[in-house]
Amino acid sequence: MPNNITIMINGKQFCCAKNSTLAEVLRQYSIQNRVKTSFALAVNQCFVGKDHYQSYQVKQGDNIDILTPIVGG
Amino acid sequence: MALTIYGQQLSSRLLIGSALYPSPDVMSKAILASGSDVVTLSLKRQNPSAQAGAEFWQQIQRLGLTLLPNTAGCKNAEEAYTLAQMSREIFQTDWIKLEVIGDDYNLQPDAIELLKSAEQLVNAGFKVLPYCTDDLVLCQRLYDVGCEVIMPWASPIGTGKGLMNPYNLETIRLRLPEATLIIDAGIGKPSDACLAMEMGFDGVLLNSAVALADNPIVMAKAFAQAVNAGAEAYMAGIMPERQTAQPSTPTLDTPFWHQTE
Repeated sequence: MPNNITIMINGKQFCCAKNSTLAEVLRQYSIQNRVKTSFALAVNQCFVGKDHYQSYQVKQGDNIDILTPIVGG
Repeated sequence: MALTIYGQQLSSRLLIGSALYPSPDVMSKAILASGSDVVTLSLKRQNPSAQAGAEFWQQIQRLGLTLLPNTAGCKNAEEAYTLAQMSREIFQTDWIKLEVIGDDYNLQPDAIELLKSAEQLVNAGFKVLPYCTDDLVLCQRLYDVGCEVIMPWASPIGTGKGLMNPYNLETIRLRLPEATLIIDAGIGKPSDACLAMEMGFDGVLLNSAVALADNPIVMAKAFAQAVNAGAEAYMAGIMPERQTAQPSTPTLDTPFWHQTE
């Protein structure tokens, strides 16, 4: 679909509408499942803070990492 | 016996990890039994809707301890910087246990990237606790760039080999009297932790030694006692070692003793 773009989320392909904001992509990504834990984001290995989710517009090929707390030593 | 890290007073000199426990319940109980004020944790790729991750995070939050997020898995300063920023947002802390690994086989830190990363993070306002090797010059350089706490390994992560090079560790303690020194990684037995504290280290950070014990909860308590014993021994002042025997019972007026003419 010409109005869609493909991005990567946690290493897997994800389709979203062209000109979507990060906030819209996140809403779409977690639409099937209620988000149960805190998370933080990096786009193309650069941190994007929560304050910028509404303003950041995703681009074709963007690589998004969504990280959540896990056990660690 | 209190320990102060970056201005925060802690009641225990033992810092503990949250990984490798047989269950979240055992993890919580072992962490509590350790008496530690600080628990380490990490960030990984995971669907935020995953139940398991959420449960773990809720358990950790319930403990109400100081969180020390790590940068496990990072191979260079750029990755560590991004992960540290993500950790700061989620965990609401400037503290970061900096791990920049240079070798996958023994998980040895990459000294060059570690130093670069430490300086970058300190400049960005982080309170950096770098995991490093027992190299005096590297420890000195980390201290020079603003790491108030330095965490040399006892031996590689998860080996349980104990203090592989006591001479290096003693030298670091001697040469960096102002730095807060915490042994991180390689501790296997409570006696290893005690020995490090007897050398004058300020604390011990461990995970596998407790989590992989047959009974992690009892082992956590054993480590708490060992760390306290070592710290008290150091503060009490350990007697100097001697080459020859010296009687502990006074020799004056020894019975049945006759002066030979």
